[in-house]
Amino acid sequence: MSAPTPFTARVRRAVRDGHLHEAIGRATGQLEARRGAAFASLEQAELVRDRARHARLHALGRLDAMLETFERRLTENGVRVHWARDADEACRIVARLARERGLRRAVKAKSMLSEEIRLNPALEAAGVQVVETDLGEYVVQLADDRPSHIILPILHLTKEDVGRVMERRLAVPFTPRPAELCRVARERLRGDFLAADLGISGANFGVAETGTICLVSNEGNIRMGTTLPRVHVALLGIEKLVPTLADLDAMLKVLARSATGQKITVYTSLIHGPRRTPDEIAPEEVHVVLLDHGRAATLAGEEAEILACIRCGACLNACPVFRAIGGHAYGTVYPGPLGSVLTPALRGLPEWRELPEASSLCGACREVCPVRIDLPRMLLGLRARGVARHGAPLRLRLAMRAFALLATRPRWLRLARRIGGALARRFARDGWLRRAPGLLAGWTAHRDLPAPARRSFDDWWEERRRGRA
Amino acid sequence: MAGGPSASPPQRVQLFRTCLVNDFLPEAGIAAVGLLERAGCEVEVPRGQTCCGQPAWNAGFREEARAVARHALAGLARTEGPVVIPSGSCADMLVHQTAELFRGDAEWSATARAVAARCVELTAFLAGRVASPPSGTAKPAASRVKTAYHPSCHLLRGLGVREEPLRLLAAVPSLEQVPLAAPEECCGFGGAFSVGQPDLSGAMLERKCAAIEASGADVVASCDAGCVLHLAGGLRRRGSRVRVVHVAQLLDGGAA
Amino acid sequence: MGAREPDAVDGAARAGILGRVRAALRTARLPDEPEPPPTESSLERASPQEWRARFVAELRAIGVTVHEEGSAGAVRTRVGALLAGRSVLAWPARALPYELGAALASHPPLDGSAGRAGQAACEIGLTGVDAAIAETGTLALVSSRDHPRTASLLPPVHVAVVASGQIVPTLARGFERLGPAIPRASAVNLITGPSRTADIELELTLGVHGPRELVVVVGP
Repeated sequence: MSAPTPFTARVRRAVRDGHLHEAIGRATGQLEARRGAAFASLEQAELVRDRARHARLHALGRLDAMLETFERRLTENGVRVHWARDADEACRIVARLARERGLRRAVKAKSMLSEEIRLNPALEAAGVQVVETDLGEYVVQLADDRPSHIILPILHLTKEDVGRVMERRLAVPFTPRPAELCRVARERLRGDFLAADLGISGANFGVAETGTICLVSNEGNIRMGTTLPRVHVALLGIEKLVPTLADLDAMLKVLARSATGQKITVYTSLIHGPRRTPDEIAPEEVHVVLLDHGRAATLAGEEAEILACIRCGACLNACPVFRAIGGHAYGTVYPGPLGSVLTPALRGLPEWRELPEASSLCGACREVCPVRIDLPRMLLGLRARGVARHGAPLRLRLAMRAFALLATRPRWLRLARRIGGALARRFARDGWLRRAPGLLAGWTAHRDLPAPARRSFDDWWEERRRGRA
Repeated sequence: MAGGPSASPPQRVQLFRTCLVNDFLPEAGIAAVGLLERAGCEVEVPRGQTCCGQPAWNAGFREEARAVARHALAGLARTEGPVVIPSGSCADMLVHQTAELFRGDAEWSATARAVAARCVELTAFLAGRVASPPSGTAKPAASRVKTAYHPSCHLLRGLGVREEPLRLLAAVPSLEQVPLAAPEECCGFGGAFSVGQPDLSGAMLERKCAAIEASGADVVASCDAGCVLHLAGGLRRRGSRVRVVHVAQLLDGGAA
Repeated sequence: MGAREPDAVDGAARAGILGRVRAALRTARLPDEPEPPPTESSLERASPQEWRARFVAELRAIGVTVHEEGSAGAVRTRVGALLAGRSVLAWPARALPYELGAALASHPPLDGSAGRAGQAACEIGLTGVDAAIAETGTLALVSSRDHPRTASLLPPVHVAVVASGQIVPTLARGFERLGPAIPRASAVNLITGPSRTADIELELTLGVHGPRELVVVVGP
């Protein structure tokens, strides 16, 4: 019996963590309920979803032209556009920018992309202090932890946990009250916002026709970070485009509803460029870094559709596997059904093939996805590619070979059934087995295994047929 | 069930009994035959049935899945009439998944499409044929069997069969429907997932068993033999007295 | 890498990425689906009075205090009362509706020309809007020298004055109405309620980095 993989070990630990279960179950349950209510109140909800899906697929289907149009508009609007093929290139661009302009204090809005490319360590190495300003990410940074959900980064922490982190790292008296904790964060981060010379953000969408960088938030940290510092840098995956402002409207209708159950987030910022006059309160420079980092490769294949994802997190909240293990167990930037497809697609299947296997294919993710991404299809496709290109354990290969052999030869199957059934019934008690060998051991670890029926349906049918003849 | 002998000739249907029903839950298949015949159908069981190939397909073994699916499709293609399947996941496999399985193979894609158009899950098929339940004949609550329905995932989301099983169960006077908490959550069977990912499958099973025990149900019914065996095995391991059956068995008047 | 000019590297990256995207599109598995029909909004077919009523209802539903005033004078009185005795950060007089600038002449507020620290210390921010969206209770503010972003962001309370004629039924109509002003501006901010978070155990807290209180005065 081989040792469990790191992923399996993390899963095993997570399913036994009752504390984690309670936190995740409560949060995802609430979010899923709010999502449902928000869509129930949306006029023409299904058509809006169709339009949102179409907007994303349409942009992906013409992504080269979209990117060129987007770049043209951005440049006309006074934005400096950079292109980065991979994480290193992106980090170098931002670090160089900071160095050339003497920027030393950065405030950062939540950006999954920046975590993909590990921007923070690269900036710190370049002498830039980086402060996370999204409350959840702020706590994660203070606690030296990792986010466990793409919308609620500290889903796995209780109020007491957060209180202890702040007490330890900010030298404030302990309090578990969220209102108090937020007040502390507001006061501390305000100083950082006012002193920062560099604001870093991701982007929720890019609008090709107008060169718009669209950012949504509830806290106000994105507005602060894209208004006060001298320089604003926005990181954008090349897949994040929609063609027009009308398309953006459709996206905004479904994003907040899917993520938090709100009709729209408190702040939606449509950023077009630096200050228009010297006395406007706005950054002097706005830069956009367009990042590939595996997206073009993903676009080329069977998982192209995953690039339509708008990062709402609804699939995480609906997924019974995510609910059982939480975000950390996946070991990726993107957990849940989204991550189980996106991670192997972006980063390579050999290293990440366990993720698509950790799914019962229940389809809840596809059902709640605002743009109707067919996640189960891609999970199956990744499994098939994994087996075809990277093999499978010998035991499983032999079992599948035997299965194919027997299931195409009814008489052999009948014989195998009789033998296997007789064997099983010999060891069974009341028709059930408590322990099964080999590949079936996983079953009996958690449940009893029934022995095959003495008389199969085929036997019964044959007897009946003969009886009537 | 209502419906006496009909004036028109009986409709011929093919029963694709599924491997799990054949080997582990023949009572469900027997009940299905009874239900179909009482609904005015002449049931045929094409010979040489084995499996639809889903276990290999779900595990990523495309070649093996194709081989088994070809065998199933060839057997069904030789027949006529609706193909009735007492399993949501097998029905979904033959209705939707074979298109993906045979992508790039024009000949087998066409065969798959033709068979897919004839395939229908058992309760979806029956729901169109059952007369509306007579009113006021429900037995007193105390003598009715408390029944919870577990909607299997491929049936619910793959095939969109939501109300039909509930409607059919509601028409059985000896049953009292009780709701399950978070009913649409996957039970954790997922085919080979139950063996390949035991920790996850076990965690999901535990949640579902807890919900079942909390519901006060005496019996849990599902349209999928896989879910039935998985839940039965789990509840038994927990020492529970709740019985798990296939919906066909309940509709046929058995197990009540 | 370090020896080459940044722009040359950037040029190579640009060409590389676009080339890979073009190549990818030849084999991309993207569903080929027909364009769905456009959505329609029943609110768009309603009257301006209904838009206004909906706007007010949506604002109240998300915890915004709303004052509806029937005349310019009443608006000035209301705003005067809201600001009385507090330090104010405001749009410059020429940018405020209902001649509010004149009403504030006796207690001139700070505007965007003041230092950052001074602005951050103000207790109330006063702005107009560029459009108001009825469907969601959203305020659209186009950033400019005369519409400083900080007025609706830094102070803990934000008072926004909306003229009825600025209310449109949907965001789509709002985009149309603002038109070319959108990309011309450095930014357009859509504000829907006070700043909030539920990051800690999904418990709602108002006033994280933006204002914790939003007051909207709707004039004739």
